[in-house]
Amino acid sequence: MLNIQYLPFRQIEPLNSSGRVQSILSIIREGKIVIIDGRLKTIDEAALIRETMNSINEEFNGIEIGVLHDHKKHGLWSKIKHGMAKMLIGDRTGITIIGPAKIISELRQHPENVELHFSKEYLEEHYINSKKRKVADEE
Amino acid sequence: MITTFKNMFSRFRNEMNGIFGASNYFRLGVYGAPNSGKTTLANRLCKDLLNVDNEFTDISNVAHETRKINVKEKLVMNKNGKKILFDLIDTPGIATRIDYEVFVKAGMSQKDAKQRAREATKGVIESIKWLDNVDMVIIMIDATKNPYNQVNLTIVGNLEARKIPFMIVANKIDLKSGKADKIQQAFPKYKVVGISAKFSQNIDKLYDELLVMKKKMKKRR
Repeated sequence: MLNIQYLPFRQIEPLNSSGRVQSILSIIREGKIVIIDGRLKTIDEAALIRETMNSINEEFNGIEIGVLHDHKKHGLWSKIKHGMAKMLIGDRTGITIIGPAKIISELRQHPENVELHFSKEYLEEHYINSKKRKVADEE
Repeated sequence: MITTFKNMFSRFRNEMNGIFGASNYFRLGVYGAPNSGKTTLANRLCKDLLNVDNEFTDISNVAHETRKINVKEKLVMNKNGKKILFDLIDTPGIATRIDYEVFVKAGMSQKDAKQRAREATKGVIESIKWLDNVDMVIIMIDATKNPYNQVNLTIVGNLEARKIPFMIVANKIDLKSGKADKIQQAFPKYKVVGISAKFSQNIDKLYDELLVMKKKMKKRR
C-alpha cells in the first residue's frame, strides 16, 4: 500500500519557514508521500534539507523531492497576472512531491514529468513478499 | 573553537581590505551535489594558482568524501593583465538523503559507514550555513547525470534569493555521456561552462568567466 497525503498550500502558507518544514517532515516520517499544490520558497527548501539532515537516523534516511511546474514562456499580460497572484497567494504554479527516501529510491525530474522510482526494500516488502504470501495462502 | 577564531580573523581582514582598498578580494564557494567534482576542481585551482603539488583535500568515488568545509586562503589569479585574490571554499555535497548502507556497499564496515553518514549530515548543514559567507559561487553539476535534480535547483534558487553571483559548471565532459549542452538546456537563463576538472579540459574558459563575474560582482561585505 502506498500512502499519499495531499497538503494544501494554504494550510502551510501562514506558518513561518520552520513551521512549514516541520509540517512536511512530520507527514514524511509517518512513511507517506506528500503532494503540495504549490512550490516552497527556495529558502524553505534549504531549511527542509537542513532539518532533514538533523532528523536522519537508522529508521529515517532522508527524503526525495521533486517539483513540477510550467516551464513554457508566456506573454507579458500572463506574466503580470501570475506576478500579482504570486504576491497575493504565493507561488501556486506547480506541485511539489516529497517522499521518504526509504520508499523512493529516486525522484527523477524532467521538464514536464517526474518519475518515481521505488526502493527495492519497499517493493520487496509491499509487493513481492505480499504476492508470495497471497500465493502461499491460496495453496 | 580554532575554526571560529579563524573565521573571525578572516572577516576582520576582509573588513580591513574593504576599508583600505584591497577590494579585489572575495570568497569563492564551490557548491553542488555529492560526487559532482567540487573537490577535484578545488584541487585543480590550488595546483594552478598556488603551484603546489599536494592535494588541497582528498577525493574518492565514494559519495560524501568531503564532509566539512575546507578553506584555502589567498589564491591569486593573474590573467589577461588582471589580478584577482580570493579564498576558495570547498563545501560538502548537498543532498536530501544520506544512507549509511551505500557506504557499506562501497566496502566500509558498518561502524565506519554510520560514522561517515553522521559526518555527511553535519557537512550538508554546514554547506547550507556557509551560503551566508560567500561572495561568489561555482555550482558544479555532473554533466553525465540528469541536471533537473532538485538539489541543483535549490542551490540556484538560494543564490538568486541571496543575490550571490554564480556560474554553472558542467563537469566531467571528458566522459562520453558528459554533455555540457544538456546542462545549458536545463539552465537556459545562465551561462554554463563545460569542463573536466580531472583533466583540466577547458579550465581556461572557467578562469575567463571568473574574471567576468568578478567585474559584475558588487561588494557584499
